[in-house]
Amino acid sequence: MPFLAPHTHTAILFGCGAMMLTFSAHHMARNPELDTPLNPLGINRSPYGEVIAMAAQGPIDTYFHNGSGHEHDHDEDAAHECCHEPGCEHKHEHEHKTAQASKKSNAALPDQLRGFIDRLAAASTARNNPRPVTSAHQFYMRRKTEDKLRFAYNLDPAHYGNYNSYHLFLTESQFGTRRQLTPTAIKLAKETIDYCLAQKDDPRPALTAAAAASNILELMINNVRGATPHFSTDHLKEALAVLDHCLARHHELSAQWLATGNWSRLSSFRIKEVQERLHFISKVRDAEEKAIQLLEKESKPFQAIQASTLTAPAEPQTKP
Amino acid sequence: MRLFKLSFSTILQHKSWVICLLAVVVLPFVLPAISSASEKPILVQPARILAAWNTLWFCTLLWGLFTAARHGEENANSGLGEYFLTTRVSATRQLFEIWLAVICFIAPLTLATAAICQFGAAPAHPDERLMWWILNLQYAALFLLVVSPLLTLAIAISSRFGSVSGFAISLGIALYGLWGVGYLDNILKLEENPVLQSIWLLSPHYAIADLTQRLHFKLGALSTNTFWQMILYFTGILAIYVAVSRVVFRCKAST
Repeated sequence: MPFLAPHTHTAILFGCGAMMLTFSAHHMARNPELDTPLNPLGINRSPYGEVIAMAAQGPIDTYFHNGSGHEHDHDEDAAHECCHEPGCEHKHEHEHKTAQASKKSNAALPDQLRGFIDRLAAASTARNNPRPVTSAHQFYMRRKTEDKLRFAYNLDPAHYGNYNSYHLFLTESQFGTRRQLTPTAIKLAKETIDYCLAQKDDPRPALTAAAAASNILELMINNVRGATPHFSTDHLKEALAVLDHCLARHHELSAQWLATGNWSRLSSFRIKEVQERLHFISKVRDAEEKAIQLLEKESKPFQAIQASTLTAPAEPQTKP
Repeated sequence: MRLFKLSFSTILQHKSWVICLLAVVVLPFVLPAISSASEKPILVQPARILAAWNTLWFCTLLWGLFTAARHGEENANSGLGEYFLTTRVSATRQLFEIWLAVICFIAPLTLATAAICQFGAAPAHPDERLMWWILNLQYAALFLLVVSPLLTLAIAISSRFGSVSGFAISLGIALYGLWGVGYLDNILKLEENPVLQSIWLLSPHYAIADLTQRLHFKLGALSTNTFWQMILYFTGILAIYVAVSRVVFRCKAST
């Protein structure tokens, strides 16, 4: 079309493009099929996401320890108990480094090099400033940790350490930075249970589900012990049944893995980790069962039952 | 030093360095306004520190390595290298002069960043101010020690394999050293693997030289002993990279 100036071609092209974009965007925005949560590269809940979620523990530790302001002496404080939940890999890191320090004297060249790099890395993040961290600074770092934990949780909701650390931040006021998070913690736990119980090819997510069920039960027991209980012991027993179901699922899948030889694909460290977690959850479960039995014997539950008949929540879930 | 003058004036004439200079000088004062520091003024200084040093890393790893790679390739392909060889400027000397031209732009950007951190984000307490000076200088020194061999590598690889390879490989090594090694370490803590362990040991641990978090968390200056150990470690890496670059670098295009 020689009668049209070059700029006219450009304007027509631009106009057509803008019209097509507007038209399609209008329809796409109303299409429920396209209304999916943000998940760049499909990384969340993917096998890669699980590995990144494990690796994310390092940056989370950095922020957590700078935020809490406590110092570490890796050589002397071998028995130092971490503030995280039992699933945290942090404690193992301490043990690992302490073990390395003990081997230092008769170590081979690779071990010496490893020790040298570890010492440099530790020194590059060690606090030499004699002044303590300000409270505002601590709050900021805790907020960062919380955000990173949520990120890691979204990558792999079945990861035991990430779930428990995030739950800790939501429920413990000295760590968490946002108020009134108990309903959010319960919602998180329910979502975790649903997600983990849907995993039928690995016994480990069932342990995370059991931890989430145990957390819900603990929050409910605390509520019943409080001034205005909303739950009866029957509700507590239902929650305990969910916990038992999760543990039963773990044992069932574990037996399947034993039969198929899948356990042998894991390192001894990972197997020990699973055993420790199972042992811990089993002990917590027994303690919670005893707590329910004690509550049944006390007079308080009767008031709770009366109160519950008035409020009668169908399930222990409250909207945030 | 004719190749240095030529390379330096070419970079100067291209003027893309102006973008880096503006970014390094302006962004530390603009970016805090779009962070949570806009609501909490107490966070302005930490936000400025992050903006300043991260902008420098960004500019150096993208613009610096790209510029180095392009000049390495041009030197070999345009016949300049061959010409300088005939004038008795050796290959090593050519590599050094191209590197010097690029580092002459990176070094002032580093000093500008350290100055912004020193004068625009220094803590109020006198004790912390003294440590701030030292930490800024330590960071600037370590940064240049980490970046210098990477620039050399970019020049050398691009002279043999082209600017895309020179840029991508050197950038890949830098990113791996800054973040990849840390993730590899986390995986090794969960599960031991002798092969990965060896890779980890031989990897360049650039994350150690990234002192942004020390400034951000006001952790204080590095002890003298630690600082010199770091200098020793990164000088070792520099020596290895220079040796590899010397082997890889060539002045003539392949026929």
